[in-house]
Amino acid sequence: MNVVLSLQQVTLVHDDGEETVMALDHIDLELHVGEFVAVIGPSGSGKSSLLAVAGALTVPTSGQVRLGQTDLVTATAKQRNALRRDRIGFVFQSANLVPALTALDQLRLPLSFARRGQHRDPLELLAEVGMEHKARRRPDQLSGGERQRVGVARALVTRPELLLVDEPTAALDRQRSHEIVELLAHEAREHQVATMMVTHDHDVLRHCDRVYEMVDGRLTPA
Amino acid sequence: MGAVVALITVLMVLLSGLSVGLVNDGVSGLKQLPVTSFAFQEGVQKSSAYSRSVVPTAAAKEWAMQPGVADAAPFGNTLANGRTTDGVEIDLALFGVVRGSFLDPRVATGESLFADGQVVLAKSADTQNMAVGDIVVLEPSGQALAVVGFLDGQHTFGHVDVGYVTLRSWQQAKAGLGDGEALPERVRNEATAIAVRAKSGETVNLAAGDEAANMTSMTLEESFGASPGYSAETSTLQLIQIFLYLISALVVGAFFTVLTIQRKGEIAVLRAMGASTAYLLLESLNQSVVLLVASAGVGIAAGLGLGAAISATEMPFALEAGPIIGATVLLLVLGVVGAGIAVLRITRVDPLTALGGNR
Repeated sequence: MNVVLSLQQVTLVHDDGEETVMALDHIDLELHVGEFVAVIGPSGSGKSSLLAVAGALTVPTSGQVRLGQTDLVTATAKQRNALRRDRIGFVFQSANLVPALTALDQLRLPLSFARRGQHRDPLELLAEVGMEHKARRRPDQLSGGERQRVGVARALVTRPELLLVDEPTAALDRQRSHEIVELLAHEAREHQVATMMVTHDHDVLRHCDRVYEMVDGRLTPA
Repeated sequence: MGAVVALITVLMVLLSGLSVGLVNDGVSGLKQLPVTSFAFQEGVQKSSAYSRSVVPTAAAKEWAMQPGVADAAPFGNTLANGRTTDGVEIDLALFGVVRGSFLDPRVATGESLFADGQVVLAKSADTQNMAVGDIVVLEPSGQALAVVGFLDGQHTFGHVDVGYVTLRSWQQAKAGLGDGEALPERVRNEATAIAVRAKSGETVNLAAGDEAANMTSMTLEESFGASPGYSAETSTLQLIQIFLYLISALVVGAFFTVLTIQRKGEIAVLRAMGASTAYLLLESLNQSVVLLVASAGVGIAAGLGLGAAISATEMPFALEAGPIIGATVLLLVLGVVGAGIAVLRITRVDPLTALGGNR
């Protein structure tokens, strides 16, 4: 299988007052095309740091991070920005949609600053996540599960190679949580997007291909 | 925010109207004169030249010979109190002109001046009930002036209506002499200034003319400052306008600072999604321009409506497109500068904050 994301011996150290904290401790991880991987762990274990490094939002203290053949460690800030724009999709906690935009415009937004390419049709994508009937609604007119569906569609509209998902079920009930994670698993497999999801929610792990556990910055298979 | 910008724009339109109205009320009589400059008494205090200056009427000949001068004629200027036939008190700025000279005004109704002891008046709220044939008696001298004609448009000086009289009648009024009293020889040769009109497309070397005639010249526009209260009024209003512009820039800047802080989470998400700093800055600036233009449009419309209502009163108020457009453009430019400084905060938003429970 083709490796989309590769982390080798990645460490991330940051200052916390007078102390230094090792947020990531020699992480090794590979994500393949169409694979859906979950990372579980308690708060402060380093899950968000792992997403930040994998998503080119921060540079690790040491180690190697590659997105396909692109080295994320040596990339400039501008290059990392372009990688996030064109090759990585993010699904945030509580969707984090823009309050003033309709569901359809949420999907058009990344296209307004993305490089021209083979993007997906926003309306078709909304239909795929079951939200075409609420395309003209703003976030405050949607339920938590609906917002998250729009958030998933927004992350996929630029056809990213890598999808990073941050606690997608944090604000959802059990039923909605299953529906969202099922949707993510479906999208990952159907459109061959390597997907990494960090979550507290053990109930949704059965939809994932592999599960890792993060404790004190160390990643181990669960 | 839009309401604040709209209110500032209303205030700006009203101030502009008041400013133009006061200027017109102070010097519209001078603006209507076909004059490019005035030559006053040598060394006269420039801020009160119209009331202090005394020049010999013969100096007009000296000025007429200067290169580039089309016309030069004596001009008298004095404020006077009078009473109409109906016993109504009236204040006048008497402009003394030589009959048939280029200063002799063209009347809209009635006749031009054809003899001493006559006056041509501007139509205004104070003179609207007067008619040709009415008599204005100056106080306390008792000098009588027969109304022979009326002018079109606004003709005021120092906030009172202009009355054109012959130079001889003006000399009599200036000397405070009643009808039948002999005019002293000295006064017969005096005027306030020599009015000069340059030939079309040419300029007059005022310094050379002053040296030749021993006088102190001012262009027509410069001479506005020599009319009563003009500088004090305009500088006060200009100061208020400057403060209004600064306040608007600060208000707009403060608003966009708050808006940017409120949007910090949203901006972090957009940056995490790969939106460039330039894109975000441009988008925020576009937003501010749209908001400013729309709000200013509403403010101008409301200001024009209010201004039209004020114009119908006796308050010196005049709406002119030029000053309103200029002030609006300045308001928008300063607003965009204020917004631009505020949205620079975008560059400091860390996309990392989009992750976790930071929002």
